[in-house]
Amino acid sequence: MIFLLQKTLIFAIPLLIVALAGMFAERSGIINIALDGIMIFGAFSGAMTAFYLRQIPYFVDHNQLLFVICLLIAAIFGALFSLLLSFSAINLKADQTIGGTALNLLAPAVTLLITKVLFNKDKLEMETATATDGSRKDFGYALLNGDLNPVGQVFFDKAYISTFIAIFMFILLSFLIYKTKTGLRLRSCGEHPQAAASVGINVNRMRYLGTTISGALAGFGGYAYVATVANGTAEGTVAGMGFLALAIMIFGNWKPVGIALGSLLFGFLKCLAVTYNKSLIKPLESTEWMKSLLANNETFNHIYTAIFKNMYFYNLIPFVTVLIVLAFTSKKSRAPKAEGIPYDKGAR
Amino acid sequence: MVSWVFYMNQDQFVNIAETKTNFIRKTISNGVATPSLGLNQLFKGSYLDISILIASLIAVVLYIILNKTTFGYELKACGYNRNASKYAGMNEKRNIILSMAIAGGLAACGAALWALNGSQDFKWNTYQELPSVGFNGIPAALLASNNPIGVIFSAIFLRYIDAGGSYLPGATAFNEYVSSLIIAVIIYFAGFSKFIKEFLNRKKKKEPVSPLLNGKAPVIPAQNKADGKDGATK
Repeated sequence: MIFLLQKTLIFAIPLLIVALAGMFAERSGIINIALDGIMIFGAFSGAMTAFYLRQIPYFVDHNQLLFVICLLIAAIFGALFSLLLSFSAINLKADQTIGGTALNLLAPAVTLLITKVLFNKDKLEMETATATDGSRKDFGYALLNGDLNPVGQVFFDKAYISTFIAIFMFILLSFLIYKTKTGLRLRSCGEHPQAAASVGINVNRMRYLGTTISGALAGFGGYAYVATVANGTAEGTVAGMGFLALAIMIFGNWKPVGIALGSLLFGFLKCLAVTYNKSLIKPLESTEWMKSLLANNETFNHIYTAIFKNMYFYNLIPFVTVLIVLAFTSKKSRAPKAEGIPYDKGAR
Repeated sequence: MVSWVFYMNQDQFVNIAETKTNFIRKTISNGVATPSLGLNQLFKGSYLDISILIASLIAVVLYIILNKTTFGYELKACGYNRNASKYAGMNEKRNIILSMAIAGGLAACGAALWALNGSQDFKWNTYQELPSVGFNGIPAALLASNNPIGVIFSAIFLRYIDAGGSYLPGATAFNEYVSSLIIAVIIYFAGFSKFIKEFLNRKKKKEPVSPLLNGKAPVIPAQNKADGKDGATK
């Protein structure tokens, strides 16, 4: 169970951060469908930084510092990459979906091209570090402490630094968007930009701010995904995490708390698919009640084996859950009114 | 948005069909392959079959449905403005559901044509990632600016670049990812078409005005300003 919760936290963090990225862009009125592409690009730039800085002995001994530097670089490059989207969507008033799709295509192409040219490989791996004294250290682990209480184990044992940074960022950004002047202005640009402009808010600047924050967060999330979930392999794809994050954002109704709950739920169900055998099947089958049921009831045994011991059933659960919840809550969902519409000063 | 989705998937269908017909190497042959009607003899070494004709035919039929029938008009109206079409008496929910259903049917058609060519392995290994082939339909639709006829050509064009890319590492010093880079850049700049159109229109408007006025500023009649009506429109 503790293992399952640890994995949930690791899996949910990239989703949470990237869904938050989507929220920032959409609250400012830009549909950021390019999350996937920005994640790939951020992950790649972070992995490149790790690769080159690893050649300096100082950084090999200071893994955690290197990890944070890579996260920063990933965020910066993600922000820079998202400028392509904001330029086309804000200055040239292009269709935001087209721009986003183009970036989604561009990011894997660019990253794979550079990887191929520089390393003659199709993917870039960040191996677990071997320090100069010969001891192996897992990249980015914050603590490796087995003798904590269960709650402590979930949060601090085998946890990555990115988890804590992400939680900190989450609190900071929720505060930013709800409790500060800038946040209010940003949200107003997503609801009614003309009204916002009429009280002296620079809509274009607010939208640039929204997409840039979004890009930085998506780059951060991309690197967090590659370094934690994907075992340090950047190969020009993040397994559709950007699109998942968009779904989580809608699931969370464009609100930080909803997004956090949604990503935790999704992460939990997704990790259940990996560990269902250990965490669900074995405890269940060890109970007397279940044993007698399985031994006596032939039909139940068949159904049980066909469905509940089936890997694909558990792979299906997270997606079906999100679909069902969306179907029942879509009446209440409240997207920002002006998202996807290029800002036109003259429009009423 | 709805009609956009509609077009998009339709595209995907054509796109997939094109892909299959020209460039994929044969891996299995079972008895259910699509008939080729000798089209593969027309282009030596290809696996062209009648699915390219089926795909084009469907594109033409959809063009007619969308542009020449009441149903198509309703679909487009719902795509442009859902509320306006509701007030005009259309059943907007039915239209949205129908457009999604048609889109789903077309996407499945494309997948069938893709898989039944006999030169394509069909594997169930994509439960963790979306298959990229389906996603490639979106750029094809965008490039054709949502015109079913245009989709035929944009799909061929994109697949042509893509398939050409796979021959790059053998024949030249470039690697195969250059072609995806080219496609991405094309799509990115295709997004600017509206801006460029506006820019050109602005230039055109200025040219006929200037000789009439002999370079002077246009004179606005005084009464237009005085009647105070321009304030009311806001």
